[in-house]
Amino acid sequence: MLVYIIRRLLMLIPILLLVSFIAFFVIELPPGDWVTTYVSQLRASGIELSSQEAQRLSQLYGLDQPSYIRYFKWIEGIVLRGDFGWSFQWGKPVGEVIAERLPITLTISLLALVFSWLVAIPIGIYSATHQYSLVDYLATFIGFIGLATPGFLLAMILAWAANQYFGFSALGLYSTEFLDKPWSMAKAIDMLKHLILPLIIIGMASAGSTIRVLRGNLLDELKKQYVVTARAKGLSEMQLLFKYPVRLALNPVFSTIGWLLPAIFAGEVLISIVLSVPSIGPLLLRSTLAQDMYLTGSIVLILSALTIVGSLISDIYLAWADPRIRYGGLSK
Amino acid sequence: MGKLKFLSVLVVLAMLLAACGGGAPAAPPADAPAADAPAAEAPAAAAPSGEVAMEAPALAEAVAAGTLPALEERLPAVPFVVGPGVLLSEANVPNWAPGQYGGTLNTAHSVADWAPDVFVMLNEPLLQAPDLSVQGIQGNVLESFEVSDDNTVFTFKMREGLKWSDGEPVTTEDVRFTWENIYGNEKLYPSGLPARFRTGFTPAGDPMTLDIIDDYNFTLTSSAPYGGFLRNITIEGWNGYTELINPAHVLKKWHIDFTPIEDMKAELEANNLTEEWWTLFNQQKRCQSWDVTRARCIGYPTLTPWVSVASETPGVMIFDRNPYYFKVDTEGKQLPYIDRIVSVQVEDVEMVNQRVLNGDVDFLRESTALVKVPLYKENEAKGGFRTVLTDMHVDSSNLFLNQTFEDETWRKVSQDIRFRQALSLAINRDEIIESVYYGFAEKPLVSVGEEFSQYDVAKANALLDEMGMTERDANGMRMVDGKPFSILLEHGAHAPDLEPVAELVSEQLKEIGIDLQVKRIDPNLWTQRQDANELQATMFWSHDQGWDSDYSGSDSFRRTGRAWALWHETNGAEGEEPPQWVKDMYDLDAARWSSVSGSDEFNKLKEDTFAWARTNLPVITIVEKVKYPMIAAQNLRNVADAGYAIASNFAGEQLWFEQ
Repeated sequence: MLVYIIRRLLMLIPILLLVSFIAFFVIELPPGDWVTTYVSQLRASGIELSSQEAQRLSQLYGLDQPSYIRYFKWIEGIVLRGDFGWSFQWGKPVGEVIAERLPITLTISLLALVFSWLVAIPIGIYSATHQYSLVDYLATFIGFIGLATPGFLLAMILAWAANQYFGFSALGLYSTEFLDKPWSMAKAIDMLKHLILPLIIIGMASAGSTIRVLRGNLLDELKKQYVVTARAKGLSEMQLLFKYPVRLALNPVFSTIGWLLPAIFAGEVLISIVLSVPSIGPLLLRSTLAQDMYLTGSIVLILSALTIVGSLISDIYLAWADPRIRYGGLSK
Repeated sequence: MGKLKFLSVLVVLAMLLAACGGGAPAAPPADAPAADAPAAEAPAAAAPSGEVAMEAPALAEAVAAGTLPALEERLPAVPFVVGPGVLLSEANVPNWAPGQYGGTLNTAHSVADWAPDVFVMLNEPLLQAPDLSVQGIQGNVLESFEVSDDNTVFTFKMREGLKWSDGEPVTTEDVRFTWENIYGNEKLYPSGLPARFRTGFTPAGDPMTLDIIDDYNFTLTSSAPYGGFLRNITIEGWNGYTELINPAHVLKKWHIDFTPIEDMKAELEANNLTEEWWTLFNQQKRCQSWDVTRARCIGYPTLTPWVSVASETPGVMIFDRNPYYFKVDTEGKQLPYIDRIVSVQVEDVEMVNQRVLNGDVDFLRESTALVKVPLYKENEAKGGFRTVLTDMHVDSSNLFLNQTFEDETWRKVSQDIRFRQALSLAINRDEIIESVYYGFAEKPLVSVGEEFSQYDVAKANALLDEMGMTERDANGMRMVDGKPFSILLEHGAHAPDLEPVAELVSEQLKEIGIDLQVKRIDPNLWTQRQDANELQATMFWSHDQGWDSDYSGSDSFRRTGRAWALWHETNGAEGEEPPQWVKDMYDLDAARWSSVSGSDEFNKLKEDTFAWARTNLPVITIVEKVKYPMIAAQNLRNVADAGYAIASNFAGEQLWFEQ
């Protein structure tokens, strides 16, 4: 097992190098660079930068150097100093920009995940054990709605409704009167109020799919022989249900924890944009549009690393939970 | 807010006590200087000067506490007096009134670290004229100026006693430092002085020379007449005082001429640099006028009405009043009136507008849009704001035909003035004004003229037939020399109206058998193609003809004759020699640059420029005088109800909240 994990970890290095290479050069593909974007942004506001000044900026930010040199400098910084480079857009190191948004992103993602499980798992179990009951139909209906409704649309509708009917401005994380105030109890409560909507909307989307997956799997399990056997041996319904079929039916849910890692890190992009939640998803989108290459490159790199680590975690979980996989993978 | 209000009540109470008490020591002793200061400061104020606070309550408090010098020590000997018709003309702000202190102005921005409305509100150019024009230029950061008779020597007087926002005096040392140590340093400015300080405003022009007379007087001399230099330090290109005045006392600490590299080591290493002090200087330490909203510039000394302060909440920018700001109102009260500006970052420009509807914004300009006016109107009462329809400082849609695009047939056709006239005649401007601009725009009478801004398909057809473009293909489209003739218009969607206008024009031109294909491309690609002479036709804005500080006739050649413009820029080394009518415009522009901005000579040349545009029709302007919505809180006063929206935005220091 240990050898297996170490081998997988070692494989990370070449994969990440390849990903960093691709991430960097894909960002280089579109015409222009950050300075041209910056110049057109200023131009849109009426400020005409002379070509002299633009040239000076290019030199200042090292954008006049060939891309392979910039790539190696960037990688060198990451490997040797843990320095992800400079964000042109924000005028500070990439690390700081990400660190600023990480806490709120993780809070929302994790809370939304917990919320979706808390909602989805009981509903999923109930609707499988009470197949074709009224509650099952209702849960199925809600599940499909949750699956099929784009989150950003739901966000727009709910934000509008909150404003229209409750006079509550759901945009951003703070009410206007708290924006420039230092932290206080009132401000924290205000922030929590603003968190509710993104939590529900982000949670809804994954809850929908979890309900469906859990219901389907559990229905399969419930028809199996061992359930009949256990029931025949006189196990109580509750004990029987939770000890075996539910555990197995939950397998697909938990084995995808690994895939969730990058999603937790990035947060939901569209919903965050609509609700003006300052998470990392919109940051990535914005930096890509502005050709803020080191910021984009670093986020893509981190996301890739998390994806790889995440699937490793899934594999380890499965190997631990399901002996068939373990022996198959390690017998060689 | 609550706390401030309470404080202001306290201070006013204390002052009343001091005034009525007949010198009684009953008033808290600390308040005495605060009450004295305004009395000494406002000889002009006819109002009961004892009761009227000449500075914001919070500042009076700080003076009383001894943490801030008294007002007269903070103001220059000759402050800039803001009154009716000073920042904005009286015609545009008919109800100008001196205001009261207090309030927080909330706004929003959608680009990282960049709040354009706040930038415009904070910007302070060296000189200024009402409504951002060049008519009646007077001192701003600089107190006054004189121009020699031959328009070559400019003598400037600085405001004695003017202070940076950290209390340090502003002197000619700051000018000398900027000139010699910033522009003169080849690491910081490899190509030397910016074009602004070169004769004729061209990068190849002769550099001006600086002579420091004493602490407050200096001259700039150009080798040839350069009266346009005045407009160049007024507002052209949204420049600010940092073009010429930078806080030497701070920047010297990061400049190799004054500080050995060892002393910068720690900071250099923190930024992963070794010897590159100039990178540190440019990228981190120096803040130019358009850097004001950048987080790194918090605490940097400025001359702006508000200064950036640290915010505990990420994505929120806070600007507090500058206690050393050099402007006062007609009563002698120090400006600005508003205590604080707060701008919150939202994740998309649409969401800025959402905040408007929710009533979370007290002022907004750049992110508004004409298409949203019905939506704004509907939510005005609930959101507590009003929508002011002012003018836009650019004519948002112009059809540019690149007459030097590499295609012989195209060149022959597009360089024929009849072709451009025919296209202009075939555009149904009334339809465009109604459908895209909701009636809030006018026909281009200044730049196109009465005759060719008409909608006259018959005349347009006649002109094209006269040119010999009589042959048509199966679809009724005109052909040239037996080959299909098609125009590719590529635009970068720089403004929301470009695409719909281009599409409408394309439809309308079918009427006269002209095939115009519209294609939207990435804005960066657009710039690249423009510079490489690869755009055949495009749609873009040009500065409004009425905005004489920025309007230039030859600017359009970048898009209407790229090879000609290149020839001019490189003094004939590259590109192609332009025909005489194009050279005429370059001469006109040069003459305007050499005349004193805003003078009769200048204004005459400006009229000549318009006449030239109407005669030669280099650009087919679709509409002029486009309206632009601006959002202002219902109780916000001294807001312009006419003129350019951006000018009203610019005059932020005179805004105040009626309580």
